Amino acid sequence: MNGERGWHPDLLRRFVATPYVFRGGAESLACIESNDLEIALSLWNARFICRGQNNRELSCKVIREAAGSADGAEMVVISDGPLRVLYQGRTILIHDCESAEVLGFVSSDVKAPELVSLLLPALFAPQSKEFVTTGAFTKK
Amino acid sequence: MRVVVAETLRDGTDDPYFRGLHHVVIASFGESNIFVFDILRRTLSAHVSGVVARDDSFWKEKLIPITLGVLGAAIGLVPVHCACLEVDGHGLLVAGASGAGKSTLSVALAQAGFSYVSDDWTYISESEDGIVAHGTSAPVKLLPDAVRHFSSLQRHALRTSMNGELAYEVDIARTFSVRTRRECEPRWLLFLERTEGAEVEFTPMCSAEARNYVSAGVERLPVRLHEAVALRERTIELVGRLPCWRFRYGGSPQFAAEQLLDFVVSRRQEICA
Repeated sequence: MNGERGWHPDLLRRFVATPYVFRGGAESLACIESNDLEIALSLWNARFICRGQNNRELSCKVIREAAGSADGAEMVVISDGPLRVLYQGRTILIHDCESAEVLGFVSSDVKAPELVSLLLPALFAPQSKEFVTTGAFTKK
Repeated sequence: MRVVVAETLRDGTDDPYFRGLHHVVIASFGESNIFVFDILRRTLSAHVSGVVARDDSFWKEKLIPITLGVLGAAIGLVPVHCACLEVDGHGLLVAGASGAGKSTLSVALAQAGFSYVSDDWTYISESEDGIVAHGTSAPVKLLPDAVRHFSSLQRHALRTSMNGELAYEVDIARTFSVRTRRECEPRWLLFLERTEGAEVEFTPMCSAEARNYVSAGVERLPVRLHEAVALRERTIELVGRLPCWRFRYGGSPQFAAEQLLDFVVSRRQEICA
């Protein structure tokens, strides 16, 4: 029994603080959270909705990694039941269509526009009929 | 569990990489070998190369213990950083910080007549009568200096273990010709501490200390997994009720094993009396 056991290391980075939080209006359950302002703003400006869930807006929690590179890494997409996971280098994006959430870790070399315009659409790709990005929706 | 095998990929396993958010945990071993754990739905989805799909030792020694550690929370299985040995139906949990000598002592206890359940992580679940301790098929991990106490290790090579340490990772039954068991009912919890000189000391400890130790060793879970947290708390409470001792010893692990055997025999007589 020593001091080292008195704290919980966050090995999975589950509890990284996400100070940049954007919430939808009174009728929306959506919430965008990130530890990176550029990512939070980009996600907010390109909000996604999930038509399969009564047009529910997707909530997103995306962590910017301090290191890691996606350069040359192969993109792998795993789809099983309500979960769909995109993995590339140290970038991991998870879409849970039942809970209408996107969770993820983005490696340091991936720019926010790339996340929104390339990676998230790739995550949603096979379900393109169910998901749309809506600039108009964000400005309602 | 659903596994997709990419037969054309030949990649072996790389260093492990873990991330998690809310109810989802990802473990990867290189670009091609990715495991997605869903704690709420109790599922595991994976994409692996053909090489890894056929690597028995990977599944047995790495993936199964990791899966127990991650998904165990959903079914009240509590990972405890301790070794577990059994004699005549009585289980002994041996806790201690990394490097305290749990694995070395486990091998010495197994050679002294105990059945080996686990050497580093033991998984505890609630049963009708109390608790059950489960081992895994992971190999026993012994640091390089263990060869001083166990000459049979000379036939084995040191290798880099999952946490980066150089160690002997061997099948305990085959290497030391000892008995193993998959599970047992724990009766005692010992906290291992090393001292200088050949001496042993048993000091009773209060259950709060035991509970704190177990609680501090488990991973913090997100709020939304509150049911899993409650289930886990109940099991931790039961572990904390075990008679608990601090066991300080110096000298060889064989000497400590003899002392522990005497201790268990006398405690067992108390239970039977």
